[in-house]
Amino acid sequence: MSSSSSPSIEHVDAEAATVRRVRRVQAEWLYALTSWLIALGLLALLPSQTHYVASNDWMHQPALFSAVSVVGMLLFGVLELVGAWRLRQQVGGEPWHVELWYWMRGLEFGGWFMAYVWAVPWLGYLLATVVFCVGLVWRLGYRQRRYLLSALAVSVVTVLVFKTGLSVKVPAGVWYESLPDPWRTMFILYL
Amino acid sequence: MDVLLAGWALIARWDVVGALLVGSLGGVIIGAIPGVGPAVAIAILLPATFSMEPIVGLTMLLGVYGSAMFGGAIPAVLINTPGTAVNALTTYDGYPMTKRGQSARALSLAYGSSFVGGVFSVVCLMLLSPVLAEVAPMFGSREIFMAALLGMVLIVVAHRGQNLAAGALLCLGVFLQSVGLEPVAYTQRFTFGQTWLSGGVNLIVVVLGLFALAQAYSLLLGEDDTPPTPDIRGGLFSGLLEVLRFPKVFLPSAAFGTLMGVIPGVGEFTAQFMSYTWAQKISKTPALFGHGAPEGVIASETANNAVPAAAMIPLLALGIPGEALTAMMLSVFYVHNVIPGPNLFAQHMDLVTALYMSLFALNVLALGFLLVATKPLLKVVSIPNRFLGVVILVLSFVGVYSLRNSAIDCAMAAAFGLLGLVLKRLSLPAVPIILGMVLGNIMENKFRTSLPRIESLSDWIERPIAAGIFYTIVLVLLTHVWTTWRQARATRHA
Repeated sequence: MSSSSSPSIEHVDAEAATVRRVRRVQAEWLYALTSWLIALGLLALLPSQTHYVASNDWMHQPALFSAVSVVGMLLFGVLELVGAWRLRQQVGGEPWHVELWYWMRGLEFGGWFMAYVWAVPWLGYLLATVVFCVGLVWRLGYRQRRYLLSALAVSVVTVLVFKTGLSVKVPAGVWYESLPDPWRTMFILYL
Repeated sequence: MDVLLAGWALIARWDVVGALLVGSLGGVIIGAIPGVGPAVAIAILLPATFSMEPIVGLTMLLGVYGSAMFGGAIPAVLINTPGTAVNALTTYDGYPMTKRGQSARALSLAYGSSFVGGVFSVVCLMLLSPVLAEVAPMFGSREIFMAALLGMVLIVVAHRGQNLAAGALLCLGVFLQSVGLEPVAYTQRFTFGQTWLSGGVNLIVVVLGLFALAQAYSLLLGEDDTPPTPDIRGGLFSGLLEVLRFPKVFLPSAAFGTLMGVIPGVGEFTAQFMSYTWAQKISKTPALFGHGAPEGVIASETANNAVPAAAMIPLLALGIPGEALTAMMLSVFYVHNVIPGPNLFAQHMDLVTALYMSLFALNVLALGFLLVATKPLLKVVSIPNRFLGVVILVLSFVGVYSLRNSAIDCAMAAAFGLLGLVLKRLSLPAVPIILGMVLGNIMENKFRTSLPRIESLSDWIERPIAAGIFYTIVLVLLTHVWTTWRQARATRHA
């Protein structure tokens, strides 16, 4: 963040926001269009996804707040869409698919997260956390021993703090059942 | 005096002291790591606090909330990177001071200012308590409905240049809270026949997704660009008393922070801008601002640390959170059946007093910790961003999964994380979604409980407080429209 002059703070902050906005103005239009279409879809689904009670006036309708919020999304959304369209016409910016590709790359890490979620009931919290943490650190290109050991340490400390220390309810691994008695209880309760 | 003793009895316990220490010191460390922030930490810790007593859980979360901005000043001053978003203004003058070899002075100014701001707002909170205890019970369902509506209007208006996006996202939040079983005829709304939606969309899942997972994705997709931290030359005590040499800066800044904290939807950023602008206006050396003016650091840090305690005022008195972090803390109250609002002061004054004392203590602990531990803390500033992203993902799992042991909750959090990533990239605010969910829920509940007394629309503003809030809403809207129209006209003529 640059502080090379003594401008008004709003001007400096607005400048930085404007630079980001100009670069991604095409993607902002895509976002506005998508969110408006989703709101339109919700409006179309309103009759089928909510109930209308014929004997009640509008204030007593079960669907009131859903309807008001969807209409609000549409109204604000269409104004946002118009603003984003006009900005798109005035300013070039990067093609929208560049930003869309960035958003899609986030899916990979969502996938890693869901794989971790899936693995915990099978491998157990400790083993799944170690595999996830060290595996993802490796995938990110951290190959030095200190990073891998740090990842291992983070995994172990997290399990010790949350499951062992705070008794947060995380499921035991399926293979814990095959452990001999005293170990099985300890693993199920603390790891 | 009895109330003070009762409050003291609540916090003079090992588990509460432990929670205060963990929260305060942990908050400082979390704040010092750029890219994490108190929102991520609170989102992750929240489910863990449900199994604790309310005073223990709230103390820990308040500790994180109030202390994070102390720690956030470290990278802001040393490497021109705010530790938390609200420390951004501190970089304007803190970093130039570091470049001049005055890093220790800048840090101690930041710490001293944060302490002054935090204590000022805690004192205001304590002094306002008797007033709140008298006034809060006058707020019935209609008044709280109107106050929540005012909060929504302020959220939209406060996001300058992004009012439309904030409005749309606020409405999305209201929509999300409406999903599930509705309270009128107990029918389903937008569940698509899925049982996992019958219970509605869980606020904590959305919070974890939009704050923690979105931040994790953002860090994982970014670069490791942490510059080396400079040495801190000199002691850290020199600037502490220097703050008191600028009463015309720190007093108004603390007042701005307290006032903005009380008003729902406004928060730290507006408080900082107003304080900084004021400090520059009254300074004898305004040209120095942005180049290492000590008043700049004082204004910024005093204002942002005055907000947390003040933000507790609408939460405790009316049950209306002022911003996202207090909105998250609201769930801790509900889980323990301690309902913030007009009756809290009557029924749980000891808890309220204990919270004030905790807020005061966390400022002392955070300051004391930083005075001795700043140099070792520099190591956390250097943690690579993408590695941090991995840590946040690991911690987010336990936060989401521990709620209901539900993989579907985790999938929803992951999806909201992607939405949060998109919003971050487009510099759009995620906070309106959270406040829409919380305020929308409050509004709907109060709306339904008010209906038996409502025969026509004018009955909503029949009572003076409700009418006053309604006219305030109208005034805010008219002022905003007029200001926007004037700015648009000025731009066209320019």
